[in-house]
Amino acid sequence: MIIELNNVWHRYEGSKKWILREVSVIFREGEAVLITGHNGSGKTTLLKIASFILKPLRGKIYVDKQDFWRLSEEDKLRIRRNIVYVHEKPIMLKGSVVYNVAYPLLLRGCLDDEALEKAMYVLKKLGAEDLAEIDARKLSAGQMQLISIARALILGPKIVFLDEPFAHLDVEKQELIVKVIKEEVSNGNGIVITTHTNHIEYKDLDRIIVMKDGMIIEDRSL
Amino acid sequence: MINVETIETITRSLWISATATLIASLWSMPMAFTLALRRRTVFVEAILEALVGIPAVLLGLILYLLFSSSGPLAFLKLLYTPFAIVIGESLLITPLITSACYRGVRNILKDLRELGLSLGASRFQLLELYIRETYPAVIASIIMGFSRAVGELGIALMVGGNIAGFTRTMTTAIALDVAKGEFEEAIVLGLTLLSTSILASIAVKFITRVDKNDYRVE
Repeated sequence: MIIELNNVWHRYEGSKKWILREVSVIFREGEAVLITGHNGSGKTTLLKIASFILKPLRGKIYVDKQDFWRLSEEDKLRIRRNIVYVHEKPIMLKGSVVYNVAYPLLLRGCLDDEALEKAMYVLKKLGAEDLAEIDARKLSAGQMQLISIARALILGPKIVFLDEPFAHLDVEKQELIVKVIKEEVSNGNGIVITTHTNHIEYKDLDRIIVMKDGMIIEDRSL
Repeated sequence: MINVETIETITRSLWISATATLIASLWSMPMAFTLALRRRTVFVEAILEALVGIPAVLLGLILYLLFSSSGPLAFLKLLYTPFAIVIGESLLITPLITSACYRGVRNILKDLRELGLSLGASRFQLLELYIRETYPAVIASIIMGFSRAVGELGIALMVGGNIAGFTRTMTTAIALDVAKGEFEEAIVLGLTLLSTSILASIAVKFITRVDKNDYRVE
C-alpha cells in the first residue's frame, strides 16, 4: 500500500490560518518514518489527513494511485481497514480493557471469543495482561496509551500512524513499544511516528521528515 | 380522596407528555449529534439557548392561530384535541432536549468519530458507537424534556381547551380547581407533578453520575 499526499493544504473550519501548506509526501508499507517538528507545526493534522480521518481542504490523496476521496464508501472503508491512526491523547471506550483492545476485530465481524482471545494475546505481548478486566476508563494516562497502541496493533495494519506514542509512558514501556514497532517494521508493516524526543534510533528508521509552520522542510531517507 | 377522574387526568397527562417527548426526541437527537460534530456552533447554540426559555403561552398562541377554524391548519381539526397538546409540547421541548443532549455529547462525539474512523468503523457502526458511548447523556436529556412537558400549562390550556375526560391534564386541572376554590384535588395533582419532577431529577442525576469516568487523557 502506498499513500500519496499531493499538494495538500488544510485549515480548520472557522480558522484563517493554514495548518498544512503545500504538503506532498508518500508513506509506504514496510517503511518506518519519523515526523518531527515543534508543537503546532502540523504533525497531527498531517497524520489525520494521511489516515483519512480528515479530508483536506485542498490537494489530493492517492492510495495505490486511486484518489481516495472520490472512491465509493465501500472502497473507502476497505482501505481504511488497512491503516490505523493512534491518537496522542488516547480515547477509551466504555467497558473493560480487553473489550477495548478487541473492539476493532468486533467491527470486522470477528466472533466475540476469537476477538477476546486475540486481544489477550496482544495484551500479553505488551505485558499488560493484568489490566485485561479493568474498566478502561479507570486506567492511568500511560496505561491508556499502551492500550490504545495494543488496540491498533491487534489489526496488523499495513500502515500505522502513531501520534506521540511515548508521551505518557515510563521508560520501561517506551522500550517495549520501540521493540514492538521494530517487530512491526520487520514484519513488513509501515509505521509513521510523530515525536519530539529521541526514543527511536536513526538506524531503525527509513526516513525522517521535519515540519515547520505547516510545511515539510526536510524529507530525507536514512 | 383520589377519584377515577383524577387518576384519568394523571394518566392522560403522562401519556401526552411521553408521546410529545418521544416525538421531540426523534428530531432533537439527530440535530444535537449533527451540531456536536461541527466546529462553529456559537450562533446555533445561542438560538437554541434562547428557544429553551420560550414562553409556553406564546407557542400556545401561535398553535391556536394555526389550528383555529380560520387558521391555515384548520382542516386538520386538531384544536382542542390531545394531539394538539402533543404537537405543542413536542415543539416546546425540542430546544431543551437538543441543547441538553448537545451539551452532554459535544466533548466526546468528535473524538469518537475519529476513533471509529481510525479503527475501521462503517457509517452504521459509527452511529452504533455514538449511541453506545453517549446514551446516558441522551437519556438524561430525554428525561429533562419529559419533565418540562409534564409541567407545562399554557399550551395544554390554549390548544387543549381543558375538556373534562378528553384534554384535561394535571396542570390545567390544577388551574381550574384553584379557580373554583377546590383545593383537595389540586393538591393531589400538585403533589403528583412534584413527585414526577423529583423522580425525573433523581434519574438524571443517577444516570449522569454513573457515566462520569474520563474517556480520554487530558
